[in-house]
Amino acid sequence: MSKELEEIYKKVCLLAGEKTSIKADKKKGILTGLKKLEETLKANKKQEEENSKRINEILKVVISLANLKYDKKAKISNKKSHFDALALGINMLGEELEASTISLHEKEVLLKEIHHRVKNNLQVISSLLNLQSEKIKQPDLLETFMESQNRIRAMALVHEKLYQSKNLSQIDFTEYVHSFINQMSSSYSLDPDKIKMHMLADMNPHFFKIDTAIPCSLILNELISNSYKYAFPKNRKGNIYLHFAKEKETKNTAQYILEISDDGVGISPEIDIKNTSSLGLQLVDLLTSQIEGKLELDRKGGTKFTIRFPVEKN
Amino acid sequence: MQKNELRAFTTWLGDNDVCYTVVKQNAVVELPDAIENSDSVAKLSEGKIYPMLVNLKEIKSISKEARDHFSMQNRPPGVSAIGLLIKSPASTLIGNFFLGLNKSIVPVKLFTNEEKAVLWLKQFQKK
Ligand SMILES: Nc1ncnc2c1ncn2[C@@H]1O[C@H](COP(=O)(O)OP(=O)(O)OP(=O)(O)O)[C@@H](O)[C@H]1O
Ligand SMILES: [Mg+2]
Repeated sequence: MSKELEEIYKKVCLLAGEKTSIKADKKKGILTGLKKLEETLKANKKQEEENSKRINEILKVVISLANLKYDKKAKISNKKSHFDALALGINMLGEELEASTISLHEKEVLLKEIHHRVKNNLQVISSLLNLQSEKIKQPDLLETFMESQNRIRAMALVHEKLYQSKNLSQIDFTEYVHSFINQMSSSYSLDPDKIKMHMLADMNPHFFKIDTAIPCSLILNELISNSYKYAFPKNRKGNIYLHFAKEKETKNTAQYILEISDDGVGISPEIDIKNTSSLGLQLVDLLTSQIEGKLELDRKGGTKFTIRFPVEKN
Repeated sequence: MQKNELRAFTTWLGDNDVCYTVVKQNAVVELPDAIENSDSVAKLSEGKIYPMLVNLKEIKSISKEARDHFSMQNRPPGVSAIGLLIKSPASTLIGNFFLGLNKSIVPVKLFTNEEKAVLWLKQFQKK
């Protein structure tokens, strides 16, 4: 059994509230489960590296298409995966654009649109993948596993809400925030007397398009996980606050505020949030600019992240 | 029934009067393959016009020229309708190209189930 596996095993015993000296048959069950998990994670890591390479390749072709250059083609493997279909689709689209008799201006408009859509989606996927493979190099596999679950669940929740809503292209973010908090507190099964979660969200519905909802949900996930993980070390007690509201609006746009704060130990002064090597805050920065938002950090009395972003009215 | 093994396809005429084309595993379909296919279908049909089932499930890619050839915009169609059998993400995507950007002059429909495809194709059999 590898060192990591041993560590995880101990943690699982702790989580299950058991001494390391549990019954032999139970131990065997846990161990086989963990070995499988370890194998899966190893296989996943290779897959993720491969995936982010593919994404970069496809992105390059998209960028050259957006510059009206048609000679670059994305590689297609024999695996028949979604990446292969994406690569093939981009290639075929490039061929059609090159051959079509539509005006240069029409092409430009069309391509900008494609570029924008594909890039946004791929950026999110690719940041997620980077994040994952980066983390798997670190020894704590169990935590990694739980965290990747959270990231995926945060996105899945957006999709779920989307399908539930009558209007298929928009999601009520107020409702999302509430479901998210429920999910989050149950995934960090912590003592509620130690960390209290407070919602200061407006109860009115606020409908967001998926392009805004996904980045917002991921930002929320990163910042709240950080507060849970780092703000209250050892036996420190405290509070996490989430504030979500519409701040002001003009005829065409509304400005929203998303604020995640805690009264914990604070982020150490050496950490520059605009320039971290850690991926969580990088992702927050990237996603904030994706929604054309502004990110602020207030370090007084703990940690307070404020994101202000515009949403176009329809 | 006689099966023809082409470079990228297998073709034959079924007892049910439906013409079949199956794309070979990981085939990269180019213009010569497309021409080879329509020639083979013409020979099988012996002057008659049949509906055709094309199984795209195993395809890897298809060039612009081959797509244009299959859209039959500038030639007599040779078939009365096309049912496309899809499964992988790539085959689905190619199927959609034939419904949109590379629209064929005969009716085209996508299927994941072969029986349903044949049922649909039968209405295009010339009596
Ligand atoms: N709310 C907080 N309170 C105290 N420290 C924090 C808080 N949020 C972040 N930090 C510190 O900032 C560091 C960087 O956070 P970041 O989210 O970028 O990385 P990470 O959480 O270590 O890894 P990742 O998010 O990629 O899984 C953390 O390691 C932690 O030391
Ligand atoms: Mg983090």
